[in-house]
Order: sequence, then C-alpha cells, then structure tokens
Amino acid sequence: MEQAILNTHAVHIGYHAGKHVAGPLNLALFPGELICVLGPNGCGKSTLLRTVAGLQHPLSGEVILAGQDMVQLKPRDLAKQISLVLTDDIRSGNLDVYTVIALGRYPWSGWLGILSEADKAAIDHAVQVTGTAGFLHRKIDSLSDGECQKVMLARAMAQDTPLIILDEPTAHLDLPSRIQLMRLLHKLAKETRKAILISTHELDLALQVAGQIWLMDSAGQLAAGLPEELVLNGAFEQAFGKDGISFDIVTETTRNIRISYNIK
Amino acid sequence: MNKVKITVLLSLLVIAFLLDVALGSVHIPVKEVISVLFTADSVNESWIYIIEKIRLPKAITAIVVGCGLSVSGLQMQTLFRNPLAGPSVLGITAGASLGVALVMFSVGSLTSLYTIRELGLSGSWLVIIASSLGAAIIMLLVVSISSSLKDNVIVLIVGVMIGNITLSLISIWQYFSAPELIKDYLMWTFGSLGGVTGNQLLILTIVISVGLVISFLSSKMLDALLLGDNYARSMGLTVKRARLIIVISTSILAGGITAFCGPIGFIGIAVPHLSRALFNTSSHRILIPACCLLGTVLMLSCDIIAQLPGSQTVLPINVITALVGSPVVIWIIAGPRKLRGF
Repeated sequence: MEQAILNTHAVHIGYHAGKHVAGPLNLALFPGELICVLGPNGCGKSTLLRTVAGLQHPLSGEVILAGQDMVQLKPRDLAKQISLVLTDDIRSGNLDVYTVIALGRYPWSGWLGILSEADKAAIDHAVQVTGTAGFLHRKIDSLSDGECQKVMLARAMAQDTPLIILDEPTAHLDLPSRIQLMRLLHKLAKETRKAILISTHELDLALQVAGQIWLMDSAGQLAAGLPEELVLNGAFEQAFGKDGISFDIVTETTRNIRISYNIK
Repeated sequence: MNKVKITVLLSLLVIAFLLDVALGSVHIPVKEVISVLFTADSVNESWIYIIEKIRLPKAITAIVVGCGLSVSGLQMQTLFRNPLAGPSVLGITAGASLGVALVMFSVGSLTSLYTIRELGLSGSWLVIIASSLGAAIIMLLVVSISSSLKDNVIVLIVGVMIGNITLSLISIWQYFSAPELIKDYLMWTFGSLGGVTGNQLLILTIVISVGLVISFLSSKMLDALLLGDNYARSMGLTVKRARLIIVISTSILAGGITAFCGPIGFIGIAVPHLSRALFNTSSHRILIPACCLLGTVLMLSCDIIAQLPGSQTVLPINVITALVGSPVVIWIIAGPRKLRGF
C-alpha cells in the first residue's frame, strides 16, 4: 500500500477555552484520492479542515505530514506540502489572473519573488490542467464565481503540493459550474496523484466523485469510509435521515447509490 | 513597453527637477542653472547661493518626500487591503506629529520647524526617532484593531478617529501654549519642503533610503498579502512578522518626512493608484520603484506650482498636494476605471 501523505493520530480538534469540537480522529490521506468532508452546518467541518491545513493546532494528538509532526514544520516547508483554496474574498483587488496563479509559486521562488523557468513551467502546467488559459490576462474581479474558483484552484496547483485542501469550493456556484468543478477535482486527483480534501454540502455530487467520505455529525462523531460503506452501515441515514433524505444501494447508476428526498 | 514608460518618467523627472531649481521668485535662466549645477559657476554670485543653499536642497527634499510618502502609502494600501489607506488618512502622520510635539514639549520648546533645526544634529535624530515611533505606535494600534474587522470602510473610520484623538491631544497641548508658538505649529502643518539643508537633509536622505530599501526587500511579502492573511499564511508567510516589518518601514518613511516637512497629504494615497494604472501590475517589485518615480515627478511639480513662478508668493505645499491629490482620490472611487483595487 502507498505511503499516506497525511495521518492524524488521536487528534482532538477544537478551540482553546475548552471548546472541544471532535475527536479522537485517526484519519489518513492517500495520493490520488478525492476526499469529501460532509456534515451539517456547524458540525466542525471548517475546524477539521483548518487543523489538517495547519492553520490551527490540534487540542491534542499529532498530525503527521510527510513523516513529520506538522507543528514542527516551518511555514515555508508546510506551504510546500499543503495548498489551500479558501472562501476568503480576494476579488476586491486590481489583480490579474496570471499574477494570482503565479503567487502559488511563493514558497518556491527566490527572495524577491522572481520566477525561474521551473516556476513558469509549473504555472503553465497549472493553467493547462485547470483550463484557465482563456482568461489569463483578465482582472480577477471581472470573472464569474466559477471562473474565479478555477483560478484559485490553478493557484493551488501552481504551488505544487501533494495535498490540496478546498473549503466549500462549490458554495457560490450555479449547478453546471458545481458539476464542472467537482469533475475537475476528481480528474486532477486521479491524474496528478495529489490528495484533494474538500468540505462541501453537495451530498449527491460528493457521493458520485469522492474516493472517500468523512462524514461528521453535530455531536462531533466522524465516520470515514467509501461512500458505499457509509450507506450500508447506516452512517448516512443517521446523519441525514431525520431531514427526510434516504439512501439506497442500487445497481443502475454508476456509483450504485440513489438518494431520494422526501420533500412533502 | 515598460521601458518606454520608465524613459518618459525619467525625462519628466529631469525636466521637473531643472524647472524646480530654475523657477522661483528670482528669475534665473535655465542655462545658468545647469552651469551652477555642473560647474558650480555662474555670472551672478547670488544665483550660486540661491541655487546651492535654497533651491537645490528643496528639490532634493521634494524627491525624498515624493519617494517616501508614495511608498509608505503603497505599503499601507496593501497591508490594510484598502485603496483609501495612506499615511495622512489613517492617522499615521498625526502619530508622527504627536511624537514631534512630545519631543518639543519635553525639551521645553515649541513645535516648529525652526526649533527642530536649532536643535542641531542630535536633535534632528531625536525628532526623527520620536516622529517614527509616534507613527509606529498609531499604526500598530490601527493594525491591531483592524485585524478583527472585515469591513474596509470601518477600518478607514477607525483610522480617521484615532487620527482625530491624536490631533486633539496635540490641540490640548497647543491650547496651553503661547499664540506665537501656535502660529509656528500651524505653519508646520501647512507642510514645507524648504529649509531642510546640510546635515538635516543628509539625515533625512539616509533615513528615507533605509526605509525604501527595507520596503523593496519586503516586496515579495507584500505580494503575498494581496490575497489576504489566510492565503499569505498558506503560502508560507509568517504574517505577524511580515506585518511588523511593513509597519516599521512605513513608520520610518512617513515619520521621517513628517518630522522635517510637516504632515503632507494626498501624495501617499494618490501615487500608488497612478502607478498601478500606469504599469498595470500589482507586483510590488515593480510598483515600489514606480511609486518613487511618479512620486518624485508629482512632488516636484507640486513644488513648482507652489512657488507661483514669476511672483513673490510661495503657497504652502499642502495646498497644492490637496488640489492635485483630491481629484485623483475621487477618480479612484467614482471614476470610470473603478480603481478601487489595491
């Protein structure tokens, strides 16, 4: 079996002053995997992502990244392992798309930020695999939400890290853009052998594209596994059943899972 | 393309510099100006004195002030992610003024340029340090309050209010001062490029050069901050340290200039936007030198206008920078290009 990119050992996440969110968590991220973190609002998806991304320390336990305790890593070395796509608004800037993508080379470029040939090649590759070549010279504030999200993904690709974490990347997108982005993430994970970790509310899309699902509930319990496993062992019913959503294993769809909504 | 722009700006700089030295209440032909500048010789002895002792130092001061204020404004706009940030807006020059006022108070003298100059070399350093410290303290205060605020407009209001508090502290002190001291202080607040000569000019130039070098070395950090603190951190920037370095260099630039030339407004807000528009980039590696070039040209031009060539009157420099700078700020907010970005 391949070496995991990231492991958590008995990690408890939360905030100081005793606000424990979830744990103990024993999770692993493998190359080429697309992992979707699902769960109701306020269950701690963001806290989990922030902890795995190194933006906040775990309350206890260890996050092991590239064979090292993450807390020990220098910011620059951490930035060579994990890149992020956040929900922060960056579009008030006078920035053009190429500049934003090029900023992904930050941990690799020299002290003045001058791009080497290798940096430029990495940027070109990121642009090509994300399909952003068409709007490279536009200003970032002239892009649609979907285009902007692709650009931020391209920036993360340019950072060339084994792990990319995206916080609710589909939040403001319309349905076609959501599907497009999820398909792109699925393809990137498979083709570039990166681990891609996303939090999302897109239950149906996640079930179709995710290699693994981390399902959190409001009580801080986390169930990790293949989508089919979590349907079979009733984890999904437990998390979403009371909201009138049911899950069945069927044979006619690609992913063999059918979700039905009880709207009335 | 950039080479053409730089060449044009450099030629404008040379022309503005020569005009600034040539024009004034006493008419000196450009040919004689060049002769004095390069050979220190002229048909008229008094022209040599006027140029070497008055106009040349003033033009050099204009260059130093133009570079320093523009770059400090650029850094503040990036740090606060706010297109309207600038040393005079967010209370930084007010903090510098308070520093200057405190030194004068403890020396038992008054806040006027004339007294600062009478303090001699060690006094100049003292004033510059106090002024930069005052600027740094106010800036740290605004940074720490604004880091928990997401709204640009609220940050701006907080900065303006802190500036007001600082200015009222100075006013309280002024209230208990003699009328002639108040007049001196008021003259100082009009801003002046004149009278910074000899060792003071040397000190000012050294201090601003140090600030500019730190700033240029920070250009990569400034670039990362364009996407906000979280992205900057995710790209490997130690955000707190970066902020501190930027606060230090901004305070040195704005504080140093305010100590000797008074609080000069609008250059710090306007020039960074003009530079971004002209060079169409967000990269600080390009913007910092661009701000220096444009800031210098603009400051020299303001000084030429302030002298009202051909007349005996000299207007305060702040009047001119406000007349030139305000339309630029309006253009930033309401203009067709919507340069609200930073």
